[in-house]
Amino acid sequence: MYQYDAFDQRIVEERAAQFRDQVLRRIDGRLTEDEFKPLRLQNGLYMQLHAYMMRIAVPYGLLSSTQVRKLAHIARTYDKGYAHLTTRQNVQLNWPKLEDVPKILDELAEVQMHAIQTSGNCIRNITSDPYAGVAQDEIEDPRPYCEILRQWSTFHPEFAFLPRKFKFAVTGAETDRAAIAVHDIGIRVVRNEAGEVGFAYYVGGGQGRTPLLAPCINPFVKRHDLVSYAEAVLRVYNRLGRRDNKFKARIKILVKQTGAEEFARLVDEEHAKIADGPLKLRDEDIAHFQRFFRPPPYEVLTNGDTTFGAALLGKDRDFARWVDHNVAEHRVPGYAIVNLSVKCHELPPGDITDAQLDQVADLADRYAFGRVVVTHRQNLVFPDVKRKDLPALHRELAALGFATPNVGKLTDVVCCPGLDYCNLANARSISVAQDLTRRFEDLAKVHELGDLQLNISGCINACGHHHVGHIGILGIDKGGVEHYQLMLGGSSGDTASLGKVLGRALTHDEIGDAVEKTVLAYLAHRKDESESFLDAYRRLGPNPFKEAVYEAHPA
Amino acid sequence: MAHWIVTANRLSDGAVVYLRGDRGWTGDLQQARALDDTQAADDLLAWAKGQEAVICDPYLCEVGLEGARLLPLSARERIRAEGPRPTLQRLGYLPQRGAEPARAAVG
Repeated sequence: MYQYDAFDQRIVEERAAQFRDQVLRRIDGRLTEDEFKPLRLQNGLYMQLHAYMMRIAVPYGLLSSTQVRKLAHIARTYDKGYAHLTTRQNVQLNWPKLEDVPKILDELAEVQMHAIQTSGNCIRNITSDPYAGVAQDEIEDPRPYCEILRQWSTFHPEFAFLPRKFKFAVTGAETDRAAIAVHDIGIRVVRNEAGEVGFAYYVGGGQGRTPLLAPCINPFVKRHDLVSYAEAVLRVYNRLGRRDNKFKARIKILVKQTGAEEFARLVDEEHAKIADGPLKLRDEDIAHFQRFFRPPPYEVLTNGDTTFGAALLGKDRDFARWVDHNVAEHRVPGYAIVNLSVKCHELPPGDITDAQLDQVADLADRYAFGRVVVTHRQNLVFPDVKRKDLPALHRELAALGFATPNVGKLTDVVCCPGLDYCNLANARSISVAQDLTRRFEDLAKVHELGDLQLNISGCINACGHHHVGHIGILGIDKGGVEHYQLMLGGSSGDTASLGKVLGRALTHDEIGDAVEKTVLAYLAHRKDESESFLDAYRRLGPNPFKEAVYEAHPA
Repeated sequence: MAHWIVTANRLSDGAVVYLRGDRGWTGDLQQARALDDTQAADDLLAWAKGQEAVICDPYLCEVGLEGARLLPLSARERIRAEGPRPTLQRLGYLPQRGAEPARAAVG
């Protein structure tokens, strides 16, 4: 894991001190709200419906147990005893007081954390594969490259006021678990025919008002050009991106209007000017960052150690289900990747209490080399768990409420805060998620449905990633009344696609029934159990689902 | 007939507040000063905009009246007035707003 040097530490400490002064000046009237707003946003502090909201950066989702304990302490001391995991692998606090925010920044700085560039028209937190470093299908660990990009983009003076916000995702694996197609820049680590490692650059994807999948503008950028090529893309965008219309200011609009080929030519032209400059990475630069992400001291386990016994799987159905759905293969024999489902019935998706955070930190220390990853599906991952420890860990996670075997299933709902919290939202999303979770409480029924991702956003800004949910729900406002559009067929994986609206918008009371009817239509029309919802939708098209949902109320 | 109230978020903690007839701020929607005269409402808003020492971003919000009771007309304003979902209220995450609605001051 990356460790701050004295320079990094000074940056975050000075930033906290700077914001303390800005808060004081706002409180005593020397700064107006208009003057203060951009300053607080640059420190991740938003004004939401009922309170301030503070967004804390979690670079590529990776946390140490010490950092998790600090988040627990902060949630307990300065908030209402819980935090929220976001779809950009960050953590949010929903109730901080203004005067406490500088103290929170101080506390974060103590554990090498901050809230820098978690808001505003700048390069935001860089996201990655939650299985980074341990995935079986990984070409190279993407995290050193994420960290290089993080450092390059932090306080980059040229990109502090871009036309709009800018989001990177980087994956090092063959399977895309980082949703690179729906980012401003999605980077995939690739290997060329000569066996050299480089990067495929996908530019101009995104969700929101105008959802678009990113085209690949360069299938192989050399490893040493990672940063200079990113700089070239940003320069072209900064120069040509629209600033006159907020809704047309993202890079995706520029790429679409320019054409991917012409955009790539402009980037190449810019890149040629800077490729051999100071941004060119040297082997030793890359090696320096790779050293921070060396594997933990794995034990060499014998075959006997690598299994917990078929007998246990046969006897304990809950454990077997959990292994089947929440545990993934690890690249090192004898180890496993464990997904913690942060989808308790009582709490909104991704909400986690201070006590749970403390216990997660303890479990990480005992079972997972003290490392935890926040996923963009609002769950947590322990990347390195000995397979022989799985039964004991399962028992502990079950007691904590994080062992529901539903990862990737219908009740593993991704959901933005919606109108319960968010100033931009048009409709509640949490109540819809909780209603659907209750409706599909029967786990056997959920497992019968196979992989089925449900994503809910409370507005067109798409923080709940509804465009790429197999079933997506978008909250809209119709005459002051909450309505919901049902969208089907989205996916953020290797065969990324954008969901299509099924029919007329539905009321809060109708949307739960509509999802149930959609699911029943899938069960009725699928070829067999092996055909997933997404495959069935792609084969059948929307009509059978439309008929099921709008039977009584034509669209 | 449309009625208007002035609402904002409190500077110290972002809590939802409404402007009373005595120019104080309250967390209870029912104590808000409601005006049916757009000019008077605009004047009240202009005054509120000078109160940046205690509040942020004031705006006019249209409300309905049921007897003397003020009713938010949009889902957004209803949720602002009531607070987030019941689950969190049950868990004690939320500040308790004025339990007994006071009689609204209608202008």
